[in-house]
Amino acid sequence: MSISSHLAKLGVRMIVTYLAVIASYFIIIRVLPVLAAGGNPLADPVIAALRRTAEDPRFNLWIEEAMKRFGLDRPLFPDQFILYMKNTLSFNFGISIFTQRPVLSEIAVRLPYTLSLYTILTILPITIGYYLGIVSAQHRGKKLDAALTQGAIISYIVPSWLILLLIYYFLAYLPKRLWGIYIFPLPVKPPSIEVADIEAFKYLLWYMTPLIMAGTLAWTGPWIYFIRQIVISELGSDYSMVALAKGGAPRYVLRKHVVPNVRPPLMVQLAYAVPGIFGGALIFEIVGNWPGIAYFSYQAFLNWDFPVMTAFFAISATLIVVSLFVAELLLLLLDPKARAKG
Amino acid sequence: MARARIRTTTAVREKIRSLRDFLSILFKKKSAIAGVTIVVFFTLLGGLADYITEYSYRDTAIAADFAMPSWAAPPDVPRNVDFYFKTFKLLEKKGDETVEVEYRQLEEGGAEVIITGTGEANIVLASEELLEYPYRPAKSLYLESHITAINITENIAWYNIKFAIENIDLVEQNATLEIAEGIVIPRGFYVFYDEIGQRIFTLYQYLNEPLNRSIAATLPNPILNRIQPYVDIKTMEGLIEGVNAAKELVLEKDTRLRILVNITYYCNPMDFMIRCPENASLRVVVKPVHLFIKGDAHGILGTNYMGADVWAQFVYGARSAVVLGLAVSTAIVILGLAVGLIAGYKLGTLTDHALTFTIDLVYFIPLLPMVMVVGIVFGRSLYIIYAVLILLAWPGVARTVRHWTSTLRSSLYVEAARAIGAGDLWILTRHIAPQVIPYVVYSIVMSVPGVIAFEAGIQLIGFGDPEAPTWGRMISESYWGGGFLNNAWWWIMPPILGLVGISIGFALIGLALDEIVNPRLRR
Repeated sequence: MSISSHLAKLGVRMIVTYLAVIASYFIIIRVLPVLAAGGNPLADPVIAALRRTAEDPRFNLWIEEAMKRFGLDRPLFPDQFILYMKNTLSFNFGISIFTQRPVLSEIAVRLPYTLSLYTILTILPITIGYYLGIVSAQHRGKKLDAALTQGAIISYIVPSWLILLLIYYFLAYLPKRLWGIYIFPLPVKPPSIEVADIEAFKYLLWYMTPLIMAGTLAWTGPWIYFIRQIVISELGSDYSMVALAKGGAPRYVLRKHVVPNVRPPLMVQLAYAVPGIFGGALIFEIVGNWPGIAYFSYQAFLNWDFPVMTAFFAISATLIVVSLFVAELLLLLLDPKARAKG
Repeated sequence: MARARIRTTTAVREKIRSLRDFLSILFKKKSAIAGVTIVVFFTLLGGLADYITEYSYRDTAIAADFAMPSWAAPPDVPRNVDFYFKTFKLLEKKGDETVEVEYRQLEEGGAEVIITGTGEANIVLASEELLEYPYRPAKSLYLESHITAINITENIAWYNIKFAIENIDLVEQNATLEIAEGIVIPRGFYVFYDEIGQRIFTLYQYLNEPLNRSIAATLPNPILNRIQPYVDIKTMEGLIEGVNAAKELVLEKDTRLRILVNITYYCNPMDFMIRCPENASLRVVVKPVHLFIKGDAHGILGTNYMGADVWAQFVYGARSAVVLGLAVSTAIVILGLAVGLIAGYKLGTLTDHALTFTIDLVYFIPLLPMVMVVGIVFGRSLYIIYAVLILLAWPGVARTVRHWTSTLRSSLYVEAARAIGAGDLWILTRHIAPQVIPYVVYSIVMSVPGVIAFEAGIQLIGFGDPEAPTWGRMISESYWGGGFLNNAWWWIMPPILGLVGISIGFALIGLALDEIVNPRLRR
C-alpha cells in the first residue's frame, strides 16, 4: 500500500471518529441532563443557567430571545442536534451565557496564560527527560541509574497538583508562619501577562516559579523513563551489538546508532502531548489559581455555560485529531520500518 | 493509565508456568519486596482500622479544633477531660411545711426527687467533686445534663429547674468581676440551664407534656451562660463574651467544682392562673452531669478543623485507598481485557471495527470534565465518580490487549486447538487469556496510584464525595479548610505521605513486574 492511500484511509477514519466524537459530546452535555431532568424544564441545567444570568437586571428580558438563539424551544432531535453540529463544526460557538461575551474572545483572553505556562512545561520536561534518560540508560545497573529511575517513578506517580501543594506549604505558608516572609507568593492574586512593565513582569515570574517547579518535577519523570526504556532496548538490539563488536566505542555507538532511533518515538509522543497544552491541567491550575483555559472551562462547567463547554470540548477534540494525524505522518516520514509495513 | 509496551517471547511464557514461579521471580527483586511491604503495611492499617482507633472518621468535636498531636504538645497544653458528677446530695430545702419532699440517690448515679402537696418549695441538690486538671485553662468547657420531670397527677404544679456550676473556692471568697462600667458580676458561678428560660415561649407544650430532655451547653455561650438571673439579659449580651467560663471554673489546677440543681415547686389550689389539685406531685430525675473540656492536644495525630480525629480519618483512608484502589483498577483492567480480547481475536471483522471505534471514541471524552458533568447532573457520590472513571479509563488496556491477542491468535498452538475443534470461547479463555495474565496483573498494580490520585484530585476541585473516608478528602479539607493557614502539619502531612507512600509501594511492585513481563528490559 502506498503512503498516500494509507494516509487517505487514515484521514477518512479520523474524520468519521471526529464527527462521532462531536456528536457524543452533544449526548453527554445536552441529552444526558435533559433525560436526568425528566421533562422538567427548570431542572434543565442550560435553562437554569440562563435564568441565573437573567437575574442580572441588564438581562431581565432576554430569556425568550436566548432560548430562541440556542434553539432550546425546539426538540432535541433533530433541530437542536443539527444546530449544535452546524455551530460546532464551523467553530461558531456564539456567546457565553455566563459572561455575555463571545466565547472565542474569552478563550483568546486566557490563551496567553495557557500558552506561556504550558509551553515552558512541555519543553522543559522533554529536554531534561531526554538527556537524563540517555544518561540513565548509559549507566544502566549503576547507582546513578537506580536513583534516576526511582526519581522518575516517583515523579510519574505523584500528581502535579500534590507537588504544587507541597511547594506552597513549604515555601509560602510555612516561611510566612515561621519567619514572616514569603519565598513564593500565595496563589491569591494571579498576575497579568505583561512584559513592558518591569514590576508586573517580576511578579509574573515570581508567581509562575512554583507552578513551573511543580510541573517540571511532575512531568519530567515519565520522559526520563520513556527515553531510558527506548535507549536500553535499542542498545540490546542486533545492530548496536554489531557496532560494538566492530570495536565502536560505547559513546560513539550511542550517539551515531542509538540516538537517531530514539527520535521517531519521541516525536510521536511529542505530537500526542501537544493537544494537552490547550486543555491544560485542571486541578493544577485550580490549586495554583492560574487563569488559563482549564480554569475557565472549570468555571464554565460549574455554571453550565453550554457554549463554552462545547467550545472547550470541540477545540480539544480538534487538536487531538490533528495531532494524531501528525503523529502518524511523522511516524511514516521518520521510520522506514513503518513505511515498509504500510 | 498503564503505559506498557509489552512484547512477550515464548521464553518468558515458558518460564512463568505457575503462580509460584511468578512469585519466586518477583521476590528475587529488592524493589518488589519493598513495595509489597509498603502495601501490606497500609493494608494492615486499613484492615485493623476498627481496632486501632476508637473513633469513626465521621466523629467530629472529639477535641478542640486544630488540636495538636499529644506527643508533640508541651505537657501543660490541655488534654481532653471527661468527667461525670454522679453523687448528688440534698443541700437545701426551703418552703412550706405542707410540701413533702422525698429524696433518693439512684444506683447508676444521679438522683430522684418526689415532691407532693400544696404550697411552695425550693430544693437544691448539689454534687461536689474535685476536678484534677493539671493543664493551663482551656478555651471552652462543655456540660451536658439530663433531667426528667413528670407530673404524677393529671393537673400539674408549676415548677422550674435550674442547673448551675460553680467554683467553690471563688464563690466562698465572694469574688467579683467588673465586666463593664457599673456592671459587677460574682465570679465563679455559671447557670448553664434554666428551664423556665427555655420553655417560656412554649409554655403550653411543656405544661401538657412531661419534661424529658438532655441539655448540652458549651461555656462561654452568650445566651445560655447568664451569670446571674437577676441581671438584664440585654445588658449582658456582647459583654459576656469576654468572660471565659472554662478559665474561671478551672482557675486553679485541681479545682473544687459543684453542680447545683435548683428545683422550684409551686402549687396553690386557689390560684386561678395555674390550676393545681391538692394531691399534686412532681417527680424529678436528674441523671449524672457530664463535664467535658476539649483538649488542645489529642491522640496520635490531633484533630482537624471540625475537631475530628485525624488518625481515625487516616486509618480509614488507608482502608479505602487499598480496597477501592484495587477494586476500581481491577474493574478498569478487566473491562479493557474483555474488549481487547474480543477485538483482537476477531481482528478485521465488523466486531473488531466496532470495538476499535468505541475505544477511539472513549479516548476523546476527557475524564475530569466528564466527572464534573456527571457530578452536576447526578450528584457527588464516590460510586458515581468511580463508575465514570471505570467507563472512561479502560481503552489503554484494551488497545494493548487487542494488539497482543491479534498476534497470539495466529500462533501455532491456537491453530492446533482450533484444528481439534475448540470453540472460540474455549480458545479465548483457555489459550489466549492466560498469556495476558502477567500484563493484567502489571496494569492493575500500576493503575492503583492513578485511581487514588484521581479521587484526591476530584476532591480538591470540589466534585468529590463530601462524606467519603478517603485521603483525598483529607487533603482537600486541609487545603480549603485552613490547615495550611494554621500550619496544621499533623493534618496536612499524613494523607499526603500516605498517598505518596502507597503509590510508591504499588509502583515498585509494578516496576518489578514490568521487568518480568517485558524481557527486553532484563539483563
